Amino acid sequence: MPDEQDDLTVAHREVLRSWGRDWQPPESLRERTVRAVTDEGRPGAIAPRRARRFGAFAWAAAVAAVAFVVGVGIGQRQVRPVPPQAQRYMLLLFESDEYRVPRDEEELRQRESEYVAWARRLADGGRFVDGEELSQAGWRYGLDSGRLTRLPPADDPMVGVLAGYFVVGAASEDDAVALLEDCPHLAYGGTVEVRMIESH
Amino acid sequence: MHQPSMETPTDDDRRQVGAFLQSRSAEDFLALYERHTPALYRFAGRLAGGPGVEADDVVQETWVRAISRLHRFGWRCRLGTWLFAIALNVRRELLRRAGRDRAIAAELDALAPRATPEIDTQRRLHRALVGLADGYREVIVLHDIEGYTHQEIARHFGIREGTSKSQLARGRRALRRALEDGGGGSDAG
Repeated sequence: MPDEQDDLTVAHREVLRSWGRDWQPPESLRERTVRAVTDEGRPGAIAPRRARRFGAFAWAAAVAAVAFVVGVGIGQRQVRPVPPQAQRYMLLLFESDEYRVPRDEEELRQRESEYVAWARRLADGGRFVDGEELSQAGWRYGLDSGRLTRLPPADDPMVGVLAGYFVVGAASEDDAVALLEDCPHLAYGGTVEVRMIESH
Repeated sequence: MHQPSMETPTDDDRRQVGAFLQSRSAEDFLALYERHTPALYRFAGRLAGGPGVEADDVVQETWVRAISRLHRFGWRCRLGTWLFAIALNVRRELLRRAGRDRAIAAELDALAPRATPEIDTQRRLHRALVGLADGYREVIVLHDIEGYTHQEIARHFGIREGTSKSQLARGRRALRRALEDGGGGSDAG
């Protein structure tokens, strides 16, 4: 509890709340902000619509590519040596404010190809790979006095939102972590939490 | 405290955001800009210790980042709260880049003591606010001026609840001391 001596009077609080009340943004700020959010001066050419589908496309493309590679490998080739994959590990992909979202169509395609290539390399090496994008409009729920209740989100602003996951086969946690060394998600400012899937 | 819950998105915001994400037009962006920039500018100005170049830069960069992430906004709070959180991070980054000491010195320089024999409470308090350490001023602005609870500050602005409470107490103590001293001396935090 704050010390009463340190608290401010009602009059002081009113003065506090009035601070800056009459400040107005300059008209010049409006123009420069529009220029800043517009690509090459063309109104409307802000991040392309497909950018909001980047995550879904990349995950779907990566998983589809993996499924294709694995499917072809099993169907047509000799059985290749598979590294020991005693465990499955979940790679939880987080995007905070540090994550650099693709700015335009070209960068979007480049980013997609990098995620696909990464997943394909894992599959080519005989690893189990699976993954999905997660919607970011989800809620936590719990019981409050026996009633199902929506709770505040658990995500830490410093960690960011959980954007998707991969499940990979690996011999150990160190083996799973080693896969992240060339993971594009990290290269673009994202973070990855590695969790072993318990087998029962 | 002063406003309805900061976590309840408004229908107007949802509609305007939806329209912008659909069209990506300058017109729809400006609708969002006009709706939220006045409050955003006041918030940025309060963090900066006053209106001016720093507040302008914070507002511009906040919109640049917000627009690039708007498709991922999950509506767990009001759009205005989300913009404030981005602005807070933007300003912190600007301070880190510019040098913390220089930023504080500039703020104090902007408020050189006046030659008038008496300084009224309002100006003394405002001057004291500018002289506060950034951490104290952030929480004073968020809690006492913008009306967020400590729980909301923790949830949306990355300042733990306990830290928010202690920073608020220390910030208020520093302001009260400044008022009693009759000046706007700074308080390190």
